[in-house]
Amino acid sequence: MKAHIMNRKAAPAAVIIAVSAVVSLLTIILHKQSVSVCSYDGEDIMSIYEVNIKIKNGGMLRFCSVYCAEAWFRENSPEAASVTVTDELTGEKLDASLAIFVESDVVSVAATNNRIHVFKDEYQAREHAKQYNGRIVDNPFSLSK
Amino acid sequence: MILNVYTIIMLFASALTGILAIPAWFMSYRMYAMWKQSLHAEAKTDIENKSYLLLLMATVIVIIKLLSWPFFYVTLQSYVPEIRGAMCIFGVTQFDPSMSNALQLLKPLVFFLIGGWLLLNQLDRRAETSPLFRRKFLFLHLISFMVIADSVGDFIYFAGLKTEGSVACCTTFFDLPERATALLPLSILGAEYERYMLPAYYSFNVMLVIFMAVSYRGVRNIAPDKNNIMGATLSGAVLAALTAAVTIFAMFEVIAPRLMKLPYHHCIYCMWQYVPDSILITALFIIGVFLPCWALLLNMLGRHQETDATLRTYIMNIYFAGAVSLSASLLMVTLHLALE
Repeated sequence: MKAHIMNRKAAPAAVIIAVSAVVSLLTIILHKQSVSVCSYDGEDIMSIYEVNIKIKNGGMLRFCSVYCAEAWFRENSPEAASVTVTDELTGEKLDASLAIFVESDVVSVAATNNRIHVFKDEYQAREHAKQYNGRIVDNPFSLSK
Repeated sequence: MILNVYTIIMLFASALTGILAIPAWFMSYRMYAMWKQSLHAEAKTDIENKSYLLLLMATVIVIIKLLSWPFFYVTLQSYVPEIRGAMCIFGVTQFDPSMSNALQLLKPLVFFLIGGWLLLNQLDRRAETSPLFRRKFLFLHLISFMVIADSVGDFIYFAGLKTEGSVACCTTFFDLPERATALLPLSILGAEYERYMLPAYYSFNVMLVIFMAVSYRGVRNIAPDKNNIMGATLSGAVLAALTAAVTIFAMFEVIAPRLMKLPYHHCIYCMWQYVPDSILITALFIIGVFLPCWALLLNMLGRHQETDATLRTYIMNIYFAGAVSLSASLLMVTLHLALE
């Protein structure tokens, strides 16, 4: 009788555990990281604000904003081989050391409250700073440090 | 207000439960006040007959409210595309943080009390003379008040949400070095606290599973005249509370980043959307830690000479369900950590 009661409980328990395991296994199999999401917080990447960091083992990390890239870089700068940012006006990719960074009142990526903007052209950078209460700031991705 | 199908269902459920809870609040107190052990059998039967409609109404209210907790998050998730800057539920909650935080604290409390009441009601129905009649109606009186507060809160919150403006989302809150989930373990465990989070998570969860499995077999054999069952259920509830605290920190700091494959992102809300089975992991975990607390609540409110044997069976079953639920949650986390 006691064994019967145990079996009556053990069967649904085994089913719950088995189903949970199958659900997890299916999720793991199907869970492929989308190529267009930020490597820091998973946010969708808008190409005009994209930052790419090439790491020394040959891989490439993509970030949705300077904010996320900087947050990653603060912790892992020795791993970074090169940093490429995007000129907000033209969408052109350029090395971070060649870009002008402006911190202003304009939020580019709302999710991260990113206020740092990237320009290739210094005149355009200064114009943006003048127009939106901004200032030119140092390159946050200095590889020499 | 952001009007979509989820908002309509949420508001309808809140209106229904809120309206039904008002008479339930009054009537449950009336039942509590009317019922006395000294009443003769006919008077008791008369009160019992009057209580059926109230119990039916209460059951409808509490079941809808049980479901409304997860549905609250489903509704918030449906707003993510509508709000500029929101990438997960956290962003949505930033439009009215005080109200959303209050609701996020109230809903699990209501869920917990409702679960306890359903068990108490079931226990009382199994007894022949309704020995828990007064207690369950006084308890229902309290729950009805909480349900009214929750429903009013839902109405104020969902009706007042606006889509104008933008919000900063979880990255600017959960990923800061000074976040609360990092500062506390940092101050206790030191700079390398992350190394200890997973072992702590496993230790507490496994301890709780073992406790429930052992208690499942042990409760039946405890002498009825001793306070051992109270001691056991109290220990279980304390262990569950500690496990919950450790797991919340571990989830934010270690498990969510690893499950999402985003090692610097510590947001549970994002984990739910990027790794869908983590919703099941969370649900199983919540049930697994609530069950030992329900066992304590049931033991505190359901003790009576007439219910003693049934109460033991209930507590045993609660521990069994808790052990299964928590084991399933642990297994799912382990599979993710091992295979990804």
